[in-house]
Amino acid sequence: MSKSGVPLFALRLLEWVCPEEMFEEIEGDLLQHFNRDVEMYGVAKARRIYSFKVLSFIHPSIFMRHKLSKSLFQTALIPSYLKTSIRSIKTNPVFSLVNIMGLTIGLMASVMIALFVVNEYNFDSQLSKKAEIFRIYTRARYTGSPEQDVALTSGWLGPEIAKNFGQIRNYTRYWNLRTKVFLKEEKRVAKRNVIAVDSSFLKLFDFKMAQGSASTCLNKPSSVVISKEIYDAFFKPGDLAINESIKIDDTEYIITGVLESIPANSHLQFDALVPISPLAANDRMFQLSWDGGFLNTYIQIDPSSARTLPTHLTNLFHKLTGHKDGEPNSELLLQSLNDVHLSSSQMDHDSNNIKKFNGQYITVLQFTAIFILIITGINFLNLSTAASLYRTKEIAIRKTVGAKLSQTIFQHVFESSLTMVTSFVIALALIFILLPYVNKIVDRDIQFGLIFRHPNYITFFVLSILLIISASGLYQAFLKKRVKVIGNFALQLRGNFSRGKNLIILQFSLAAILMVCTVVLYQQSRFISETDPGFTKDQIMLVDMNKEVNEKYTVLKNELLRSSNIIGVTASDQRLGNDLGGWGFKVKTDTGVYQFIPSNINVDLDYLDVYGMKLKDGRSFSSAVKTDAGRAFIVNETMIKELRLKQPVGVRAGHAWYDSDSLGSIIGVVQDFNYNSLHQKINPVALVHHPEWGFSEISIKLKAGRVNEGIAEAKKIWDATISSYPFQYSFLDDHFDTLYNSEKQMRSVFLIMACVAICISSMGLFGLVIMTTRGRVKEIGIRKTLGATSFQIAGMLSRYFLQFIFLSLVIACPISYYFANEWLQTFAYHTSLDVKPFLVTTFIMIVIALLTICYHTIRIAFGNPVQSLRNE
Amino acid sequence: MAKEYLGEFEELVLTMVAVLREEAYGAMIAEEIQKKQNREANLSGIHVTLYRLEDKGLIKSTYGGATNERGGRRKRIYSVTNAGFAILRMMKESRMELWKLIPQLKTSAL
Repeated sequence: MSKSGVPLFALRLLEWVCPEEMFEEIEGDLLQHFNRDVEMYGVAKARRIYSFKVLSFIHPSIFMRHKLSKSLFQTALIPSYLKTSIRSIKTNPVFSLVNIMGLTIGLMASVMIALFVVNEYNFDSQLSKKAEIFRIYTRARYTGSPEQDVALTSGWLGPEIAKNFGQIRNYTRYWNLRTKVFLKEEKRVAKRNVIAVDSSFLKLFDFKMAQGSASTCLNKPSSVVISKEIYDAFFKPGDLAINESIKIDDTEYIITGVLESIPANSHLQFDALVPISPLAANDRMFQLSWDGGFLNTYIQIDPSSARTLPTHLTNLFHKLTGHKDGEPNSELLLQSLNDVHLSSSQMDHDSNNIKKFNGQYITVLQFTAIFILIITGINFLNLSTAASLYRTKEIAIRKTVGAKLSQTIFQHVFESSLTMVTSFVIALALIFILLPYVNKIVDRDIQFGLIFRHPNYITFFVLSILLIISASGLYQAFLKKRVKVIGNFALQLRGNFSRGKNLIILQFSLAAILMVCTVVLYQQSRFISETDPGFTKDQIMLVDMNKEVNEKYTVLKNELLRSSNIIGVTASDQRLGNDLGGWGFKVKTDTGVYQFIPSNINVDLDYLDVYGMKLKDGRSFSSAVKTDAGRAFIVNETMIKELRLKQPVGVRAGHAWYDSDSLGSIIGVVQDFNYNSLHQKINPVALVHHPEWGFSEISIKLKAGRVNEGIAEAKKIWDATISSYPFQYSFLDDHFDTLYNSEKQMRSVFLIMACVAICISSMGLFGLVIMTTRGRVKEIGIRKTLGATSFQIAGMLSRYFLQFIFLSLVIACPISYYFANEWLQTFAYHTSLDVKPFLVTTFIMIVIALLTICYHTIRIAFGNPVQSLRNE
Repeated sequence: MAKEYLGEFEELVLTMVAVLREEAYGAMIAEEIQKKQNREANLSGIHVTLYRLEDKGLIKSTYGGATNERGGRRKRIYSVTNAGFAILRMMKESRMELWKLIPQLKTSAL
């Protein structure tokens, strides 16, 4: 029925438009008219008239009569589809397993990342006033150095700004008094984070209280609110702790409240709260004249005033301190509580911000999750298509018996849905099981139920899954349309695999990028651990001091040094491995008195020796020189460079509160040392010796290899000498490791993601190999009969696939170079980006690709050509 | 099915169905309209109208015989239901009442 009959295209169009019930009669009528027209006008015109008539049937009244539900959901055939699905899984268990595995891994990875991201965004979310709380921070600018954001503010700032600005509804200060010993009925417990706060603290930060009232518990001067852990240490469950007395560092306090466990996703973590006003009244650090910031100030305002308030705050600050034109040029700024957890990576002196995380990494993670989802979807498509090659007989029979296109689509959507849902369920189950381990790696407390409370993410995943299912269903159905039913159902699958090839290249590119980034991450980690920081980090034990320890320090030190396992003992008021506190400093140069805020540490005389810091010029502190106490300063090279001092030793210098006429002097220059993480540039540092101020930490250098003995001996000596303070120690190198927590976590995450991406891409490659080699079976058979050796064939096939790998590497290199470089720039000190990561990635990818393709390639290459040519 | 009014084309098609009886199917209706009334009738328009009339319950259909001319496809033969006749009657009467009042249309037959 071609040229002498009705136009086929029109007929097919008609068939598509008309609902089944009406098709027959309409077709018949058109045919009747057509035959009449042929008699009257001839074939050509009749065909034209016919086509026009068909077009006129495209009318809403016709095609709206399709019963939608009937054509999309062919419920009658579902049992049959189910049977064939199960049968196909049984005949190809490897395939189905690989497919489901790939899906599961991909889904698991994406959902896991989503959980982590949601958890990060959820920090501090349990606070009802989160949207209105802002943290004040100081931005200090010295000439010649980049500006520095510091999370600390002055002690008097809170009350002053509350007095002057009506927009500030409430405020609270947060002052970490560090370690205190709690004593009750002969039991001693030392806790590291005792905080002095204003009585309004619990109104802003409404942590749940197990006992006591949040609004009044901090009003009386000797009140203390204790954490659940302290409560558990001193009381039996169910005991009323309110109005019980407890001694904190030998001062009597009355317990006025017990807190419930502070949630893990709060940026503030503390053990006890005491009121700050009685402390402020007696402490000159809270006077207007005190120049340094040392505590956090939070305010509650209407978010709309957040833009204009900082200027007012800064102006008030300058007015009250008279700092307007001096050094440093500082301004006060507001940071919303929403940003405190994720946007404080550049914030210095931010030790009260627990487990802060770099928000930029979050964006990276989200993109990675989407990458992985894309790879997984593509993979699923490829593998399902490959699997369907084995089922062409079934397709052909179904078509013969009368399957319509919509039914074929439905069948494939149904099968894809089955696979997808199974994989999703398994993925969720696996996540549930593995969550504790993941929590350990990332140092968080992610709850499984978290994702259900965020509808956005659920919709995203559901939509992605639906998209993948429909895409694969439609894609396969259309592929199968091309199956020609020839005689005895022989297979003839026309198809170009260029789409499959492109997808594979995309997958491997993404995997390569992840891999290069992982290698760079590991390289930088190694760089960090191997770089000489300028002082000794290993075998340094740090021990907390209190007043008694300070009083008995000399005795303690002499006793400790008598042990052969202890090489050195010194003390300081701060620990290395975090930001160092700073206060005003003056230097008298030829051009005048220069005042600024460097970082300062108060140290014992032999600090440089014990820590192995190198002197570039001048001398270290000496007990022989009396003025070394308070009037001698050792500064680092960076300070010299900033002040442009040519002859630093002997230059007059002193603390900002010293009279400019009675300053001390610089006695030595120490080589720059990385007191903070390698993210931060080294600031100017001044080491001072003020034994009368007291130190807060003893540093004990232990002999290598005798660490345990050293610890035991130190404890013995301590217990014999000190009665009021327990022996609490930690190690400096552990402390430094915590600086890189974000990086360590990202490292692990990236390694896992890279493995996931490689796995999934390999599975995709596996599928592609099967598809293409099957298509080339005859070609290979002919080549072999013409004399090609099996090895030559294997080589030819391998080369064919390896070219994809090379192409993906070529694409991946510049992209990963860009990202790796950007990341390395976030470190002030970093390793250089060389060829190594790219070589490693190339090598691994080639090896894995070869492994993936070898099975099938070898089978085909070494196969018997007689088999493949038999069907000709 | 009470006081519904049919469009002009619907009325025409309904009438043709009543007239043609056993031959009332799409293609034939189209031909008759063409021949008797000398107006171009679109086959699709007729089919759509037939379906609409069937939805309104004024006609019903069954499958009829297949002929060679139709390549073996069966016809759908329509017939007027009681409701259909009722409407036809009603329309005829209301038309006549109005036409009676027009002096120029007065002929001896009325």
